[in-house]
Amino acid sequence: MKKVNKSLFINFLKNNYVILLLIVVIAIFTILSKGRFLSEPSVRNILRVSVPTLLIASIATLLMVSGNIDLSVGAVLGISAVVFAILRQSGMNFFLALIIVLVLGCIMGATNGFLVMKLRITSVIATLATMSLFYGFGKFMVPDGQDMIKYDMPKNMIFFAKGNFFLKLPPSVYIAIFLIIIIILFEKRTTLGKYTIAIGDNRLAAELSGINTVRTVTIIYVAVGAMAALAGITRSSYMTAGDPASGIGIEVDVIIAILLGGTSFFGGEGSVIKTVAGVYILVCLTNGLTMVGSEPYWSILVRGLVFFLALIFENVVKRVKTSVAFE
Amino acid sequence: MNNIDINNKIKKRLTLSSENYMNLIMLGVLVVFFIVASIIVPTFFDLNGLINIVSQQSYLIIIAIGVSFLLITGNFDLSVGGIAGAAGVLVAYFSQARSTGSSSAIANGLGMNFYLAIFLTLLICVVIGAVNAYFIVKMKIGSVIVTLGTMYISRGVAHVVSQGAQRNVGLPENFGILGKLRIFDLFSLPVLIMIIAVVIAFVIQKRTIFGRNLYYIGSNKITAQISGIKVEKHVAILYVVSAFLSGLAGIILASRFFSGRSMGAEGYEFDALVVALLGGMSIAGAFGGVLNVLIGAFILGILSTVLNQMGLPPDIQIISKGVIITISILAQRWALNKYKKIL
Repeated sequence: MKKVNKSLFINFLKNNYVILLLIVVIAIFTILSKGRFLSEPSVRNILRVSVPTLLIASIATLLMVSGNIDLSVGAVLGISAVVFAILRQSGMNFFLALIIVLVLGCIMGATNGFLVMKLRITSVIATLATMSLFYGFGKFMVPDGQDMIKYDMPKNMIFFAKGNFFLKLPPSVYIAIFLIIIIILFEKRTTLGKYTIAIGDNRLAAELSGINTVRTVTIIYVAVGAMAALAGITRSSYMTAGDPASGIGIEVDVIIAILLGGTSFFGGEGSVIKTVAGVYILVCLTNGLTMVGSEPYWSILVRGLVFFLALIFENVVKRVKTSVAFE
Repeated sequence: MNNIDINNKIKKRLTLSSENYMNLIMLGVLVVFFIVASIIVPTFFDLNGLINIVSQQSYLIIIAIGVSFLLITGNFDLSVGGIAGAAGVLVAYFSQARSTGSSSAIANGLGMNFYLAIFLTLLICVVIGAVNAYFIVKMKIGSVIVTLGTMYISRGVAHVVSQGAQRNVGLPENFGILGKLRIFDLFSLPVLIMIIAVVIAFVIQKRTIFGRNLYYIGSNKITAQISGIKVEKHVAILYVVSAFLSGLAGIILASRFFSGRSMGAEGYEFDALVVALLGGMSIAGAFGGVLNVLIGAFILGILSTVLNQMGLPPDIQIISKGVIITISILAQRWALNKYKKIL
């Protein structure tokens, strides 16, 4: 009886260590900052800041489950922020601008999907190339002599990402929660969600059993593009500016968050909810470190160490479980 | 002559392996690039300019040699840029004078002998490589994940030791010797190291059992293991060597700039991968080698120089680089598939 309980506990630990890690990180920063970390403004700030990474990482989890990767998300975010800022600068209605930018994001996602699935270029290379391409276009759209589009912005632009919509939180947070629920439903409840796992596990076998792999993965690429565009709108609204460089580095954050969540880099398994926990670990680390007054240059090392600790922890737990099974 | 005859004739003529075919194509592309560049940019065809391209790319090639060996076995090393960055900062920290009179923390180092500092830095790099090897080979964690972690840790060390800036005060006088030393008044030390490394790598790949085994491991790890190849030992050695080479490149880079910068060698992990694939290596492993790295690096070097000398704005340069790399990799895969069908 005792043994069963023990293995159950270890099994729980193995499956949910990322959530445990998140709790540990939050607890450490709460103690270090004497409770300020869990104060209302701080929590609200974390929820607001995490939206872009959250949007991209949750859908990119499905992409990684299907055995592909998108490194161009940061560039898509940047170009979308620039286009959105230009459209709003010219006085266009918010919703029309939103739709135009989302369509643009879909087109960029479709380009990636075409290169990877139709032309069969390895996703790392294809999206590395489109990354420099999109980033270049984003920079190109900003007038000479300026580094971002920041003049003549409408006053209500900031509302989407920083305003007070409900419970003193902006609309972007609610949209993110809503979309993540949809992605989780898509992952768990639709055949397309099951197909992505099958494709990631063995593309050839999936193809032979009649799954349209090209269509399935291209749809996910388009969704990633759209989410990256929405993330760009959020960033642009948050900064009240369109900065083509505002997405640089987010692709690595996204990958780390997904891997922290235990998704296999080579596809076949993964979970959106755990990725969400991974994103919050990263955001809590960044915000917590600033709050306890550490210099910004520490953040990279701390991130790396947390990532590595998570790796070791996952492996140790895996080993313990097998030894229990052998008993 | 009917169709079958023609087909047979083609078959007889094309007896190249697909690997040699790819090398020939990419060599052709390099030559075409070179000729076009010489025509478009009148100042391009100049001995000093060409040597400049070679020495600019030499750091990347030194790093990419380790990456390409791992790529053959089907493994990745994303930590090379971080390790090179950490090496540059650490060698500066170790060799900086102990008290320079400045109160700033990054102005004071450990005051070691420069050569001792180099030795210690390389030792640390080798340890990082061994950490990579341990987690990938013994713990069996995916190479991308592990090296992404060590990339962050080593880049983090570079940032913390240099406090996000650079260490360039109170360095010993001979700190710049590695970057500035010239051989026959023609090319610099990094180029010589690059040539030696490339030759050694080429011999290992083509003429030794060790090199041949790497291709077996890359094409099928399990059969290689069953046939008695010590897969773990091979891969572990490669990770340590790769870290050593990146450390070396990082030290020379720091010596050339006479400072240990926190952002030194940033992005080299991706550049090394791009160069290897542009040269015709396959990301799936067991295809291509150090020759492809050399070709890819020179294509990229010529491209950057030409775009720069044409006076294009930097945005256009980024765009055209992206387009050209995409198109060339596309064309490469297309040509290879076509060739395999004829074979």
